[in-house]
Amino acid sequence: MQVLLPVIMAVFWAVRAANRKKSGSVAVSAGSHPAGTSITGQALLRGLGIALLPFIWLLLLTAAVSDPNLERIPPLAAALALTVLCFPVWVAPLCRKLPVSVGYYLTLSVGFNWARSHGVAGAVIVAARARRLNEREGDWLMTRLRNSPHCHALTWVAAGAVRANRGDVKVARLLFGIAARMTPMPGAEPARRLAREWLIAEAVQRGAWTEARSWAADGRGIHAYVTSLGSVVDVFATGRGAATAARTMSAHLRFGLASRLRAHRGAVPNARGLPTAWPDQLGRALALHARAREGRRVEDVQAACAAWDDVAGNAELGSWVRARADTLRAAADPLERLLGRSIAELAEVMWRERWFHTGTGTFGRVSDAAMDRAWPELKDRALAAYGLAETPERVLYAHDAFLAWEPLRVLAAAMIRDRPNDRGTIFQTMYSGSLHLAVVLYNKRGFRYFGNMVFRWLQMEGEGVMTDTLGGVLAGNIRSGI
Amino acid sequence: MNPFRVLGITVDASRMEVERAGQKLLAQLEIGAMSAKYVGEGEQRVQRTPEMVRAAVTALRDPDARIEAELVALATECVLPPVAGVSIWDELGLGFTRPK
Repeated sequence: MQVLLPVIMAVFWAVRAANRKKSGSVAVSAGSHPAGTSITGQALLRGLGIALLPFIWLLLLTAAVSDPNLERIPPLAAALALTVLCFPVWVAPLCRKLPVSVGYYLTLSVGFNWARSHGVAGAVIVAARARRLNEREGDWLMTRLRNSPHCHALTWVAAGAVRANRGDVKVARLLFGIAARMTPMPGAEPARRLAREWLIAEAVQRGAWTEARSWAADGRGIHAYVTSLGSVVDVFATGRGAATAARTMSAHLRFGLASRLRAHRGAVPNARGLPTAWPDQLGRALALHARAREGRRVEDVQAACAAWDDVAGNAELGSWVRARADTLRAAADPLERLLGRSIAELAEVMWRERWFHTGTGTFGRVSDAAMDRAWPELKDRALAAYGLAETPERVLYAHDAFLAWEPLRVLAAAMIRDRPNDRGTIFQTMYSGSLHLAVVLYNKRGFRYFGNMVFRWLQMEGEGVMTDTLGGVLAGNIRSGI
Repeated sequence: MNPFRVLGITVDASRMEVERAGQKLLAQLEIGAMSAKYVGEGEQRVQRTPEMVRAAVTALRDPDARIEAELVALATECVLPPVAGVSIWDELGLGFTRPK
């Protein structure tokens, strides 16, 4: 043992010195690789670790088992730990994952006060898990987020947790949604999982089963449970899908929840018995529109949009309106005017409440004339977001800029999806203001992440409809690292 | 409020009938007649004002606005189910906080 320990220490310092020389940096942060270390060098180090580590462990275990003296156990444990540290390249991926989950529980068990910690990553995880923050902790966390120029998934989760604890559920839903949809990065998976859990729970509390199941699409753990709940809800609401529910749920869940779900059947939209006569359809659309204008639930807005789509598609109503228009010699189409004004009002509600889950076909079946009437309302809302570019000092941190721009992006995406023929017009409306906003915030506030996100989105959405000059500008900005 | 309801006329009223109903209501409101003071019943009862009457007559003079008013007046009144307020999630006791 006395011979092995110095050998292990010597190997440790030699390997560490080799890593430092090749990387040129002291610490290797999560998610990055040592700069300058060639692939061949990494593979060599990794192979060396795989080859030597089990051999060293075997030697140490043999020494411990052969020696009955228990006083040698602590040095043995230290030696085992040091052998792990000898080969950081090999064990680094494992070490990156462990602190996030195990560290959280350890900090809770020892009563660690994360507010005094200088580590933002650990703090945001604890904040998100805790779900309850007092005023001082919330203000401290928001200050740390503002001072950080980075927009890692953890920061989105932290910002969403603070907003949720302060009661701003709608903005929290947006921030958690961003974290849940972000491209997977090393170290970001726990944050994405947290965000999805919150979104699922919040959607179920609102009775938004479709939305909850869309977040639970990967079918693991709590997600599978929510998917099962959604299947049972479908069975009682529509009478269909019993076979699917039986396949996805265990027997105790099915029978245990049956009585509770029957009591809450009113929460599930009734898919049966939709009216077909135009007075009934129009009455239903008006009633849903009145409820949606209160802006309490995104499902009400979705239902109102779908109801107006049905009204627009009712041939009997269209014939009646045309006949009356001929009789009264009306100049414009009154039905189109009603549809346009209604769609614009719903868009206003969506914008105000920061919802844009419009679903497929919400805008698609509304005629061009009606959408022309809705466009001025929507353009006014779009221009309001660009006002931030004129007064960048109002933008406290990158999240503010994103919160102002995100509804615009989602609106444009929904419009492009439902009205593909208008893609060029929609892009032209979006591009100039978005580009100006991103450039100003980068030049004056250094928001590199926000700028990169906007440029990449414009490049993707403008493919085929933007000029070569603009395409060159966007590509150049992205290449230069903005 | 729908112009037809404000004026107390049917959807198939002619232009002359619309003008006559408007003038009659304005005269009644000027003398303070109780029969013309309110429109609607129960919780939907509102006070009828001369401005409301004039706006209703103006709207029904415009063909586009009249057709829209006819559509709304002919639409069947729809009663929606109440919005559910209790969450199954809380009942299951899985520890998630109800958003405020």
